[in-house]
Amino acid sequence: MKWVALAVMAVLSLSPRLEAASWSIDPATSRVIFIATFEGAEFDGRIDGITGTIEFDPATPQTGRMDVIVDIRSADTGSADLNDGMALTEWFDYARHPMARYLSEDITETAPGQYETHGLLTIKGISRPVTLPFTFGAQTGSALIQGATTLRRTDFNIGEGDWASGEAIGLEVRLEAKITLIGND
Amino acid sequence: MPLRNTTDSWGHIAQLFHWLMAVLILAMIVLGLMAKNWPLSPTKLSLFFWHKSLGMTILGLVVVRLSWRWANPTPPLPATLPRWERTAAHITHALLYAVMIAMPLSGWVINAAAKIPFKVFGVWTLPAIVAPDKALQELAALVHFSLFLLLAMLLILHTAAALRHHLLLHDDILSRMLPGCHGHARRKPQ
Repeated sequence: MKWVALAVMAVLSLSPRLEAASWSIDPATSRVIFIATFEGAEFDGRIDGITGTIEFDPATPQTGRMDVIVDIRSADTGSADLNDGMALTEWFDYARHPMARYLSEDITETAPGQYETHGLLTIKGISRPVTLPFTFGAQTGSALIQGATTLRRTDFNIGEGDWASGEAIGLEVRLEAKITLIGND
Repeated sequence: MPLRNTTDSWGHIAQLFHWLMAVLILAMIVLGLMAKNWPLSPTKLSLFFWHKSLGMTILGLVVVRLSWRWANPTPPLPATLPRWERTAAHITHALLYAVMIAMPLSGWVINAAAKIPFKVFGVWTLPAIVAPDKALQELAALVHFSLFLLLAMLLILHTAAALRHHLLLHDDILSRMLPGCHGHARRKPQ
């Protein structure tokens, strides 16, 4: 009967594991939507230039790690004027800080299927601890992370000087992330 | 003095529309020039916010004002006025109405083509009259500023003519637009 056990093991090793621990971010379909206010009117934009690697196994969330790199220059509000404003030194300063980065240090499960990652978000050269709640759904060879949070833009010196009062452009910015992952195995 | 126009005088409602919109238009000119020239800052955005909010208010008021004008008799110009003056007056007034409509509309196009988030007085979301389009934005801005130059010339002409009638010709053209002044004009013998 030993050959039956060997045959079963051989077959099992051939099928792909549904929940691979190592993933690459798919830049083609991943995006972050940001929602802010301008003179009391809400507006949104999207950022598409997202790359990075994520190690995550829902069975052992504490072993997970995220390294997400965002090219802020890909941000698009639909308005050329607003886009130009984002590039300015007092705002995102694209010339000096084109990339933002999120490096997670710790992932926990807060409820069945709900997770939270604690890590360092670096925007415009400034790093701040940020907690990001997210959900994780895996299929064969791919997965989807969705999460949302609200940040205070002035924590990262975004909108300096007169802009820091928040009267014209609001201080609170909502982020909604949809990150698609491709299994590395 | 009546609310409605009579056959020889403007009523109170017409007078209110006239002076209210005159004040609003002067405020708009100041706001517009300041907003355009102010360095990029929260103040600049605020100036545009008030300029655009008042601009859309003027557009709404013009519609009501024109409806009121058509629903009322229009006091005729004095019979003694020469034909060229009559024509000049009609053309100037028609152009003023046209500018009062075209300027806010072109401004609306600028806002929509630039896709600048905007709610009139922070309350009513202005619908997008056009899709975002940089070239259209620039064209609308050119039209808007050109109309401003036309408006400025019309206002100078309109004000000078009114003062000429009142101070030189001594007829009641200006006084009949003033609440409470009707009947006090001295008529110069022709």
